[in-house]
Amino acid sequence: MGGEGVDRGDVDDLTMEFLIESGEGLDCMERCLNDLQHGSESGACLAEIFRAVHTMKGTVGFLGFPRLEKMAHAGEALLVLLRDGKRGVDESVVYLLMQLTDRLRAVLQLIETRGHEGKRDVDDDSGLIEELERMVRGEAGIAGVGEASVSVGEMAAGCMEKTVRVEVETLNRLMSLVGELVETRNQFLRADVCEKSVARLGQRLDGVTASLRETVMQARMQPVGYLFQRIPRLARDVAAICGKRVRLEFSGGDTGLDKELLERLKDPLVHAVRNAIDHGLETPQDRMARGKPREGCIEVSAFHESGQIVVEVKDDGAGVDCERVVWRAVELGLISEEGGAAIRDVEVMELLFAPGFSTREEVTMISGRGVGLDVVRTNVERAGGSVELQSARGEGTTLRMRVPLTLAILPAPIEDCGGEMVLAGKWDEECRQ
Amino acid sequence: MRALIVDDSRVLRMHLGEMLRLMGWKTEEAKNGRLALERLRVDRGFQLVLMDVNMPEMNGIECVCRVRSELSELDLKLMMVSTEADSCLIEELLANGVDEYLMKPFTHENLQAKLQLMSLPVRA
Repeated sequence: MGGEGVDRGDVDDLTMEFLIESGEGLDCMERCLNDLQHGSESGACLAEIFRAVHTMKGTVGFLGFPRLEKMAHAGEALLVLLRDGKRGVDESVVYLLMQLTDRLRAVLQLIETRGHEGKRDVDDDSGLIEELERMVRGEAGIAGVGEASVSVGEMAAGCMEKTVRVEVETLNRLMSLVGELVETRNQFLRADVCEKSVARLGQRLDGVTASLRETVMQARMQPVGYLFQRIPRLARDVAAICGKRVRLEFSGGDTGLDKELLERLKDPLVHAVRNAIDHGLETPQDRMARGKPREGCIEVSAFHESGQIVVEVKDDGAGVDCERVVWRAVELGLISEEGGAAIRDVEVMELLFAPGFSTREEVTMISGRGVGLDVVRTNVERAGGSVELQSARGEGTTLRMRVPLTLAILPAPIEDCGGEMVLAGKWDEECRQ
Repeated sequence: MRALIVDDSRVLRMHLGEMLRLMGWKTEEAKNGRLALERLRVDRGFQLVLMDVNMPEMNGIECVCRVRSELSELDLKLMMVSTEADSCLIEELLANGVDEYLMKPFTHENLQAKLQLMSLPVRA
């Protein structure tokens, strides 16, 4: 359980709590900004965004984080105007506030990993703060405030990964099961325990541990939708940079998945969406020329399938150009020319997962050089899952990530090893009894 | 001596709570005005309430007004704790039954001084 420990700066309890609270605030802010962008009623959204920034501003002062304080202060000034209706909300406002969110999150992450806010001459916020102030003064125009937003995907809030929300009811159930366990132990320890009751107690212990295990598993289950939250934002940024138009469709967000697995799917999913937009979708002009709607569609869905959870990213783009992939693989020396001639389509898909494979000669800002499918595969396989790719020329590509429901406790046979009981390394359901 | 800390920020509640406990107070928390009001209705053992201004559900201003009008029999000191520096707002609050005002961020000494101004006990 628990991910590999992040090497963390010297962060005390109060700062840790601050990081968690502020991370939650930024998540909320991001959701509201997305809602705003999609034309939701702005009053409630703005109030929530205001509160997130305001709370942060109110608490940073105690902890001594001047970078955060300055940004939160500048953001709050603009948000007061918006909240009070003294300035309308338009695309440029939403964009700027998104940049603010990113920058705040980046600094929070610095604090979490290094224990300080970073060097100011390196991470200069003055451009962003100036833009915020200009907007407050009513000066239009939004010049380049830096390209911070490109790397949103990598900046998932660190400390959110260390905590999990559990329903009180589940906790209560756990508590009462522990009570049962203690009670059973007490009965075992009583001096007058006879053989007959040992069998009965053993049975009871079996029941309690089974329920305990099941309840703990349940407590670890989180909705996959948690992973979907940041995608609209990411997609928007990526699409803007590649000159593509994207419509997103989500389904199955309430599918439950073990918290640990959820975290492990986060990066692969970001890569997959990025790939789908950058490599999968055609430009609006190309799409028009092929009689497709200008806007590409990416469906992100999660569902159960034969005891596993599938998270799927499906685009309606150009599909994989097998000939080009083979040609490129030969060029990169991954396969021989003769091998290339005889290759089947399924094997072509495999080539895409080869480390360092890229059909792009130029390195794009979005997908980088060859970072992509091999990384996706490695990450998903580490989580005990698998990745597959399906593609139809001209119709689109589907990337499917399968993971087990949970990193369950696997039963193992106990063997007597010279008087010492050891767990044998064979995982076999039969051995449980 | 018991104090109720009302703020939507867990961090602030933790921080303020720690400071007050060092000064010999017992503390409890509420995360918005509505919950604070409910608490004060049933638990009459508080001597001090520290109240944030901007909170969801019920903000601090509405909450203090209602405490003073609906629970006027309580012998309770009310202190606002906020980043709001608007002097009109502060005056309005003081006119509406607020005893003191503390600006965020504040130090241990700031808090101590304010408590002493309200003649509340402070363990050194």
